[in-house]
Amino acid sequence: MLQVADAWFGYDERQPVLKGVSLSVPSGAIVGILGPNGSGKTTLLRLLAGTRQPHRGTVTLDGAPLARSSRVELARRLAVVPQETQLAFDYTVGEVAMMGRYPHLGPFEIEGPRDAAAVEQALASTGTAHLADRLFATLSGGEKQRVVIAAALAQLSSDSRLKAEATSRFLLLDEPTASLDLAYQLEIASLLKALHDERRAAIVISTHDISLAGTLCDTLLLMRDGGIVASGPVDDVLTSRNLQRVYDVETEISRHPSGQRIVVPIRRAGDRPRA
Amino acid sequence: MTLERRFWRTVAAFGAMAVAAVLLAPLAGPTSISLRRAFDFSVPFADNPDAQIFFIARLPRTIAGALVGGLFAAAGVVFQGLLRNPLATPFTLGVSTGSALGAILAITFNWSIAVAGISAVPVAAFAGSLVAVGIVYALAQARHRGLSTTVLLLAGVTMNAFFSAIILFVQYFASFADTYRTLRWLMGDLDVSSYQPIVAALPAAVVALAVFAWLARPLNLLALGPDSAESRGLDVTRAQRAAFLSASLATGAAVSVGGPIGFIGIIVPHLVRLIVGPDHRLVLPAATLFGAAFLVACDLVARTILAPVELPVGIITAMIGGPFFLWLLIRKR
Repeated sequence: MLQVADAWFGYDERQPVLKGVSLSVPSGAIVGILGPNGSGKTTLLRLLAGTRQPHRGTVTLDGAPLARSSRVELARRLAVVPQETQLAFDYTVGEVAMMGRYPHLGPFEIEGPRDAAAVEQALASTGTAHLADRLFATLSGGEKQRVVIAAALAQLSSDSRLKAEATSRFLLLDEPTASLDLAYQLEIASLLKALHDERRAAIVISTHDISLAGTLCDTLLLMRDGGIVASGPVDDVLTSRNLQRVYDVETEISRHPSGQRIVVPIRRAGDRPRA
Repeated sequence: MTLERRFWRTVAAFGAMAVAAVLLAPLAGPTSISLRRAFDFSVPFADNPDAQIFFIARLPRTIAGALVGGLFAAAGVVFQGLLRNPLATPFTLGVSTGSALGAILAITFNWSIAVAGISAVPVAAFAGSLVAVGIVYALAQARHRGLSTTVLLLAGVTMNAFFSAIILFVQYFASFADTYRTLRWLMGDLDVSSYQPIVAALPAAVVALAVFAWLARPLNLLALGPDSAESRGLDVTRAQRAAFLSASLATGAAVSVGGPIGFIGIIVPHLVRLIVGPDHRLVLPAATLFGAAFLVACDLVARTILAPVELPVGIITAMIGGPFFLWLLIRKR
């Protein structure tokens, strides 16, 4: 269980970005974070990943504060997929995926067959095995995102030597579909679903895509101005009233025959209805 | 091919190049000598002119070239990885201008305090580089969690300009002869004429290269960006500090021996990346060895192209480096 309890955080001490946020991610869950730009989604993910520490409140993994674990220990259980990845040098896809193995190696250790197997498997399950020798920079946005997800999977791939590792793992994604077109959005969504079923890692995903969040996630968190507006099971959270409180937009929510939710934005709250 | 095999193959190929350069370069010069006779230890050293020219006149200069070239090239790789910018050089962050200021003060005010038998100019140059590094580091640390590479870059560029201003100020009041010596020093020259400065620079060089070995994998991760590197398990702040301080130490040591010889730190890393790819575990050893061979070769050209005039090697590297830099910019669209 990955847990945030009453966390306060700000990059500048006078301007808190998170104001008392609490969230529990049980192992195996898929949690979606929705909210307008600047509501603190990315920052919350950073706290969950342990790359930033809350000024007040705690972030714990199975009850132990993240701050007390080493970076390497955390990296074996928490992997992050950022919005976009820009490389400074021309690494190949295989090399980028192999970088996920960093927390599994000693300071001067060279990747062995176990690491190669983990990377191969990760590339295969993201459908990027055929790209392994391509330069990362030459890929399309959707391909890049899948490769970064592969690197995250390779990072979480457990060490079979240590049997005691029945511990849960967490994949944290920050608006992974934000810069992708419709086809890639669908692809990433079904990839995440498949990965979740196959690897049983918990997923925390921040997104602007309400339908994606509605279909993929079992728990949702609505954020605004660094605070939580609503959280809980999708059906309870995804209501017109809550969406208006978060986005200041009046919406109508209906069901498509496939069972998917359709969220139709009607008008900005406060705007006069057009005659 | 596994990384281990690629590593050893890289070290063997570039190592052979460096050894060949160091052994062959001393043979060329106004007096021709033979390597076989120079290494013929059955003849007493005093009666062996080949050995005397090889070991006393030419080998120190060659070894200085290898040391300086290797350090500049490796420091270039580390600065480029740290700043995530392939156009960074060992001189981008103010280290060289700081050491130039030190050297110029020593020349102009005729400092003669020798520390442990080393003359004042290299000592002052090294001290100057440490001062510059200290200021830039303190600025980049202030008001930031960890080390801000943006502030690092801005502070470095600003310190370069500021130290240059002080250099011009000192030069304005210097005598003609001192100005001439200063100018010659700034051109970069490997005419060390003894093993002393090499031995003096060696401890700093060894420390820097040892840290570089540790840095190879962290630099790969830093290429992903600091946040991604951190979430992969790297202590980013520690890696950035280690990279900045060790690369600055290497640069300071190299400048104290050879002066600010330009372009090695950018030509060599790029050529090496074209051959071995971007993995720093291959790039760092390859750049160190190739940098050594490259500067020795450039110095050979500098010594022989207008013989008996011996040009400062910095002129040769700049003449190769300028066009190379342009080619790089055009190639990177």
